[in-house]
Amino acid sequence: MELEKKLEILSDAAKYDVSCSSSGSSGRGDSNSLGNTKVSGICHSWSDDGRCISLLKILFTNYCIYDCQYCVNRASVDRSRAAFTPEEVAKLTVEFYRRNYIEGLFLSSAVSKNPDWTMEQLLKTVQLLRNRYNYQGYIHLKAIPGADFKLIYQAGLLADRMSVNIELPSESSLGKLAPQKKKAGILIPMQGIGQEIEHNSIARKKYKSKEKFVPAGQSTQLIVGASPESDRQIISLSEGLYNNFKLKRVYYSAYLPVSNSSLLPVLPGPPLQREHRLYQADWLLRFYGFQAKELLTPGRNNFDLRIDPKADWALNNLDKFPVEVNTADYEMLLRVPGIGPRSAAKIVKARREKILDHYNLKKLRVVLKRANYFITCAGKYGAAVPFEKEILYQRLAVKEQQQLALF
Amino acid sequence: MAAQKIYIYDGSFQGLLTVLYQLFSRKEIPFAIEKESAYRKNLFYTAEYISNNAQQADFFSDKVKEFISSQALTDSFHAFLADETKVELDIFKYFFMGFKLGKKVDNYLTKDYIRKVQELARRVRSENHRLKGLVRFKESIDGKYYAALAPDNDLLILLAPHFKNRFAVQDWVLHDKKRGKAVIYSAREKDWLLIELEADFEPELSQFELEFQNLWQTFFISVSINNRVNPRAQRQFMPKKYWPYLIENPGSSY
Ligand code: SF4
Repeated sequence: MELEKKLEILSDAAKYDVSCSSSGSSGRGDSNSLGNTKVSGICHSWSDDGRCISLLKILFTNYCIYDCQYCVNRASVDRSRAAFTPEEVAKLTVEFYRRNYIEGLFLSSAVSKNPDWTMEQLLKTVQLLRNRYNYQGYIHLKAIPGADFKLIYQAGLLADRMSVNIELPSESSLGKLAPQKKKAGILIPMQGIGQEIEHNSIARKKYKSKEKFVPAGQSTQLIVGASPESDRQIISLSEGLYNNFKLKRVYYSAYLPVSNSSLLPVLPGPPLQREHRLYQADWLLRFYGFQAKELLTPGRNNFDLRIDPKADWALNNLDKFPVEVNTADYEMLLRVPGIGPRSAAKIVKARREKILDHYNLKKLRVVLKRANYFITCAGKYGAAVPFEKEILYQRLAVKEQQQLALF
Repeated sequence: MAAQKIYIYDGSFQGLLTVLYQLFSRKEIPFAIEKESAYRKNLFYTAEYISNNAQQADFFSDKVKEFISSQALTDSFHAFLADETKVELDIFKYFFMGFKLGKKVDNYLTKDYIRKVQELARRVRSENHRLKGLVRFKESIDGKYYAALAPDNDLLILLAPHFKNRFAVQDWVLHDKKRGKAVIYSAREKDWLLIELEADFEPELSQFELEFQNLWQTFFISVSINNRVNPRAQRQFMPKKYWPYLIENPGSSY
């Protein structure tokens, strides 16, 4: 098969994996090697669906012996199949990289032949890249569930990031929809990688020259909407993964109805708005100091699709508002809907020089559209509506029309 | 104080720093500071040409670092690269306040010229960041990698170190078609050089170049998810002005 055809099939098959981030690793590469990795991450293009293209994201092969119900590549589906060779993947990566098309490689694979054989192919590919081509750009590698951990470990010494996709947010759903990839097969490598990352970072502090193991950390992906878990279960799981498994990122992917399996729900389309809300909530967990249990409670299991989780939280905690921008601490400013880390920092900085009023905030380019309902400036409340939950909700919620446009 | 004058310099940042050195040591406030290439004779103001002087410029930047901050020097350099006339006067005012207030000067965001310097600096850095991704190299017949671009801001000098780190082992050229100049990097010398290069220069391509361009175009089409087409977001992140120099074709997947 021609390389172009393989690329077409195997990038198409990989595109539903949402993680595109390439940030987080640094220190690879010097003046005698090709490439380096940037801490901030770089997008090289944006595809027609508006997503950042940063990595050459492909499957090594989409021939699969498994039959996970939610997956386009499962064994029982009739579709075009292809497989690269390690040499082909290495060549493509290096040639794309040299032309500055990409920031690096994201290599995943279906399980062909058996897990060990598949993992070996991935390992050979990274070995070629690192050792033969002297390529020091970014590599994100999937660990194949069920493969010998020795292979995963060797690959981890050469990759920047590794991930094992959990896919389904609970064991029972996994048992039902992906029985062959039993949960153990996912959590064991995840735990192993997590432990090795930790050992390695301790060892690296002791011995300067110790090689790096997965320096950009570990991530995973959850499919949203293919199984009945609530948003509350999902973000609690994410919080646990961040705290206990030291994951760098959890990605969420709205389930695209790809098969007519009777085990799967019938959806009008992918639940994109729900995916969006989960990302916003995830962001609040990681950068805004929120805890999962603050965002959703046993009485409220799912996010309101019409309003973002931060505004939702504020409306449910109206007693903490409005906050005075001249005195509130940074952490509280961060909790004001419409104020992000940058605006909060600008406010804290500027108010050292003078007492801020609404006009000053505007000049600082703090966007007041949403924040206005939740703040006072030098004691003055600037929104021209009563400070009541129902009214504020109407103001902040996505209008029906706009919401439709998102689907 | 003497009548206000227009000061003219060679257009380089070092030249501007020399002018600032002169102004601050003579305690003069300029009416305008202009690049030699942009200066038009003006009946009402006298003009003085100040020639570039490395020692004076270095002395001045040391003072900025000592009494204001190194960030202030970096910000004014980035603002200087912006495609914006009269930025020199804002930089003058920014330093003028800076010498009074020290590094706190950056908090006075309610002053127009302080905000302007910071905003221009941010604009330049953001285009710089964007271009680190959007620059596309083509392999030429003699194995050099050549990229053409036409940035809003004059930022080759910011891009060069990035590509030097990344592509240390290959020879490359970054060609600013808008300004008729280029950075050329030699893998053997491990160093780059700023040269003049006419806008219509085009290298002859290697025999494999088109094959990889094709593969990239194929990849670009197949990664897009069809039922999520979103040209608006695409244009917002990757404005149309950058498309002529891409290899992929936005809009080609649907
Ligand atoms: S293992 Fe399951 S999820 Fe992975 S490619 Fe095969 S069928 Fe799809």
